[in-house]
Amino acid sequence: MSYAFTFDASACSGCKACQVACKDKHSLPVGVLWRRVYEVSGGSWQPQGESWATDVFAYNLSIACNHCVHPKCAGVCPVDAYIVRRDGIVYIDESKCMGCGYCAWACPYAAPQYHPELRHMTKCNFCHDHIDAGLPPACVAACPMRVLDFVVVNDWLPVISEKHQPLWDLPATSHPYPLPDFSRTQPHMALKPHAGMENELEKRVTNREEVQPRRQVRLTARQEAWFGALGILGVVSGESLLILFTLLGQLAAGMAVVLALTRLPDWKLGPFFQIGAYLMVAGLFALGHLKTKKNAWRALGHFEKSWLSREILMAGVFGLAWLVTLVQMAQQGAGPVKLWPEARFEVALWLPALAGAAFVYSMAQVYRIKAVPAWNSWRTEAAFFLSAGSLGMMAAFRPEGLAGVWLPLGLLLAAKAALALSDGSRSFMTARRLRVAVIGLAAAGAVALAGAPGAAAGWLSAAISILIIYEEWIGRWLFYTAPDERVM
Amino acid sequence: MSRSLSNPQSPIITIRVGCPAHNCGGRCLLIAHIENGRITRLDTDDRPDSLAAPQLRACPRGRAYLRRQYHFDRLLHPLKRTGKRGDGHFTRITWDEALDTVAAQFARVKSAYGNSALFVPYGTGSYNQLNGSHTARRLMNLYGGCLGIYNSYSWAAINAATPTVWGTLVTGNQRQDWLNSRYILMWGWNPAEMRDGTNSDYFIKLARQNGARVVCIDPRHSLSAAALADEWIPIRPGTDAAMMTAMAYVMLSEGLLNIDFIRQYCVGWDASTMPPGFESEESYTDYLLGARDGTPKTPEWAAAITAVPAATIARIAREYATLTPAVLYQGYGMQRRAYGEQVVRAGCVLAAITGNFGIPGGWASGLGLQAPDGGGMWTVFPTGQNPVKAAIPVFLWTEAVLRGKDMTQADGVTGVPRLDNDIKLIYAVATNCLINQHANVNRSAEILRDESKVEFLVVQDNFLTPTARFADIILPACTQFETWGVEDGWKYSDEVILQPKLVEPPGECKSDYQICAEIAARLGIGEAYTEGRDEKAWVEYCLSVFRSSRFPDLPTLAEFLISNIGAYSNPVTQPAIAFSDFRADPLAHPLNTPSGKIEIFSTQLYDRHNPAEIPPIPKYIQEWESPFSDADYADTRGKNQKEKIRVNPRSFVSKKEFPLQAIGHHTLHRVHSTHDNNDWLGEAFPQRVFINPLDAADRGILDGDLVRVWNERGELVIPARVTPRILPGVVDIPQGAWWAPNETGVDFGGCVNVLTSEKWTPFAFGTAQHTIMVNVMPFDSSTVDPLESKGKTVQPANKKTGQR
Repeated sequence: MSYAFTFDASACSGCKACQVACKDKHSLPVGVLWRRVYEVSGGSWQPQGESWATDVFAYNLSIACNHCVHPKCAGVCPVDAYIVRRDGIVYIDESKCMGCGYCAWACPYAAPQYHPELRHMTKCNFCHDHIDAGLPPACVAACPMRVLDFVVVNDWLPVISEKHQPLWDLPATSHPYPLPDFSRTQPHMALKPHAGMENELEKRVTNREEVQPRRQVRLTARQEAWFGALGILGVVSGESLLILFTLLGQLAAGMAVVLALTRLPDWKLGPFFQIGAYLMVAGLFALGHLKTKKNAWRALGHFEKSWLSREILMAGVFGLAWLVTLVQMAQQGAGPVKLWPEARFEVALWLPALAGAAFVYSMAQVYRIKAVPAWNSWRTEAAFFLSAGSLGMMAAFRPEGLAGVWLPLGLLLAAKAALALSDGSRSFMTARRLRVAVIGLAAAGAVALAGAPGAAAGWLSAAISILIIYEEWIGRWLFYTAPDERVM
Repeated sequence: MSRSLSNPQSPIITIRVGCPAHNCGGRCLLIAHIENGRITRLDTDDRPDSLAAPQLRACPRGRAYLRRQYHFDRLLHPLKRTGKRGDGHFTRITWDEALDTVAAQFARVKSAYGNSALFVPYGTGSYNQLNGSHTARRLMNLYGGCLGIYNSYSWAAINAATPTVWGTLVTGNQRQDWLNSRYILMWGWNPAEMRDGTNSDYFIKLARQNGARVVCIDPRHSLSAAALADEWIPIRPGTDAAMMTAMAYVMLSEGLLNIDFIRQYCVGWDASTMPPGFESEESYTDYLLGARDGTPKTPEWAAAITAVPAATIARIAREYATLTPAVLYQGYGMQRRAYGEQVVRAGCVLAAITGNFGIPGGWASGLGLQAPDGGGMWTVFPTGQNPVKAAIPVFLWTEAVLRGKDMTQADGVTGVPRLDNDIKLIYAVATNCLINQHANVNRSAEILRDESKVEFLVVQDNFLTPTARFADIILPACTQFETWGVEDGWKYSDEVILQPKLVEPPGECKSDYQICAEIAARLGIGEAYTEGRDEKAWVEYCLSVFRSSRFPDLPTLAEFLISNIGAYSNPVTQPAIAFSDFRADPLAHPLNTPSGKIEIFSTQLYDRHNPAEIPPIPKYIQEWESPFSDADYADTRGKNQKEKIRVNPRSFVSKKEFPLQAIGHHTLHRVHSTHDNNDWLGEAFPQRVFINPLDAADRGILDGDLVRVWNERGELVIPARVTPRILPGVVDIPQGAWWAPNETGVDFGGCVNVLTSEKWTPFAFGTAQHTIMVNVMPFDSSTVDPLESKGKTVQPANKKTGQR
């Protein structure tokens, strides 16, 4: 048996008594909305003589956690903080959460929300204290229109009126807007549709500022465009530490691969040492982005289910491989490095490169989640490996300049430009266009390197490096805006 | 007070308590969870839910109450003004100093000018029997009286106009009867947001489930339109009477009416039913057919005025006339307009001629107080008789400050031919009407800044409201959770709700009653004021009044407290029907009108001898500020008043300076101006100007952009919400946001009243605040001009607009 919310959209006024009652029950600050109400509207206005004809419509959707049949939040949690009760209620053991926010991305319904005062994730728990006491959840008891209710559902006894559609029994593609059509979680919600849900007109959430408090920085369109293009929005985005972590991590991995490919015969301790340093700093940024760091150790125990745990594991493997090789290098001095002095092959040199590649791959897998369609494609892997390649090359050849690798670098940049150009996203277009232009400029610079004299090549390399850092920063920030582009 | 059931040892106690009353139109029940002297949580009504006695579930304003109760900005100590009045600089003083000062000022003004220079303004910021301005009214009445008031900001025109048709305000059936209706016109009525009685929206939902077709006519696609209506018909604000008139024309011309029936019940319908002596006057049929003015009131005529397509008007007319019994419920926003009386009368006439009165499922329209006895009892707490006979319409208080001694019955003065005083002292209890909620904030502010006019202003409130910023002395009042109170169900009253004192007041806050009692003691009338009672004893008194009238089986206070029941409901199993006796036998049960019949033609109105503005039959009259005319600006800029400009819906940017109509709906963020500082409600319903995408596109406004909204009276700057849910040519700025002017007078709080006009309706002397034109443009911080009106002399409204 499971619990499900039932919602009669046809008569919901959107008064938000449910939302406020929830906040009162759970003491939620402004910006945390376990339950929220989406206002959808559409239709147009046509002049008709001296009057107006219109087909404008509007409806409301009150939604909290749907306590899904397949709760993705619980599935991806790297610290196993989620508890799924026998009656289907999904809630968070707040003492375990490390505040990584992964569940918020994985949930198609924006149920898990970060609580800035408690510094961990929180979500609707169906008021299970009420349920256990035989009382309805606070939101249900609040509804002045009596359109929000809950039922117990069993396979053999669907206790739902005929007019309510059990959404967990319907494919997500037939769920009404703004419920996402990509969801695979089978939400435990039954809905009686509003007439406006069933028309063919284009629909839009008109109160996004009321339901997506994440985006509460109020900027004009022009400010948003330029602050985005200048990279300032990336700094204040709340994901800045993640941007730094992923870029530096990929830089380290890319450097390992580039060094393995190009410097096999005579590795030097200096550049190789930097790989570890970058990785270490990246790790600090990663730790920094966790809101409850004391629980971070818990992430080490869930490799079997969470890509975020695996990412941490691969970072560790990468670091270990680097350390082993570093020790060998230190002991054996300059020249070919073998895993042990008598070894026949120089396989040891490839060890950190392979581990780095695996690390980048696991990083990409973290973002291969269905709930963020923009991430859930080969483009994520492509973007991460291209970043690793270009940043790695830049870092590995920093002392002597990029002239020697102008061709591979130019090809990487061209691939990046192609990837950026074929991106279907329509937000922050100023920043996107500017980034493509910068990549193009860097690529042109790489070509120019082929014929540039020594001194100019040095300056040109430095300029290209700056362009790459800029476009990577913008690109990664844009990458992290993808969850905000979702309707929910 | 029961301990928590689950754990008898729990330190948490739960108490059922009436939701603090603020004139929202709802009266609801909360359950307070109290821990260590602090309310930690609020639940709502958990009693059994039935049609006859439904649960009184609170709306978000009640549910978010703790954010107001424990707000960091609560006034905690008496304050004395230090800077210039209105500058907002205060210093803390003792209660003794505050009350001594107030009492001394009362005595000074009384001896210098007389009692009629004292004034307690309209105020509903705290509105149960033991809290609010009526405590001050009792004090004044015992002290020899003060200038009286009548009317309200809410219902002036509908209060005055309904009896001109029906002879009474009790025109409503009990709401359970809506389930018997086949057709419900929610005309400018938005129960989902303004809460016109707890559960009114819920009853409409049930009526719809029962088969009623519900149509919403409103310039806004309101929450009610989305949740309750099968169809939304957008209409140009201020033109509802034109659509109603055209509907009557359709009914007449298509033979949908039973003319014999109309002649039996109504006067003024046609030549044969004119009252004796008025046979030669224009009848309603004459008006509809254009017999005198040459303009038949066809749907095409109305379409050009209302923006509603003619075919739609005709269809709604047919539906309302034939899908009987039907309800035409009039909202109150459309009567807070230039000729608000006309729309009330036109609606009542539609209900009358279609025979939708006096029958189950019908509705006589008009104010609709609940049959059989008018419902809620409003003020049970005894305020006593006012020895000062003079009274003014509440909306004209600024006139009484500026030119009280010039005010006569032509200005709505009652009780005396002419006032003998200007207002010199204002005791403002639980009111933000002096600044925020009155029309034309910049004008009111300038009037109050002049210390030679109102010589002393004391404000008693929970917060430093825009009105309180103008006080000479501020008295910190407690909230309704911090003292005793009792309330009954507002307009639709079938319950009595107890409000026990839950927690101690913070700081030095005191109850309204206690403050008034202490002032009374200083004035030597302490004993007379209290009659030896404290708040709790007065609750007992009020309960006995309820028990002796509408609630014979009402529990005693002790029984209420032991059972912790919170609310006592009179179940409505047989909903009462207004005018059922008149309908059954109009001769035996005549109406309380001069003719005893339904007065389509009113001799009372004829006697006003102002047919252009107070016609004896309901007419559509073009408003003084309207998209069709520049008339309002003629006064200041000498333009031709006769010039009429046809509105071409295809051209959105008019050449006119103020091409957009502005309305200010009642938002769920606030109850009027109460709760404006409540962060949970601000999150749920942020203050925005709502604008149609067509109007926004013409101005380069994107959703979320900061915009300027201004007219010649003032300017405000807030973000825009671009939404198709409003008629093109109309913007909506929810009323009640707190005025927050910058140093040049531009309001950044979103207070619509910086734009509204102090001009009043002709018959009721009521507010016409919704009748305004504005312009909207993107905000550019470099181009904000200082308000032109700054430094301008404030004129009485009649001097500016011409004596009516």
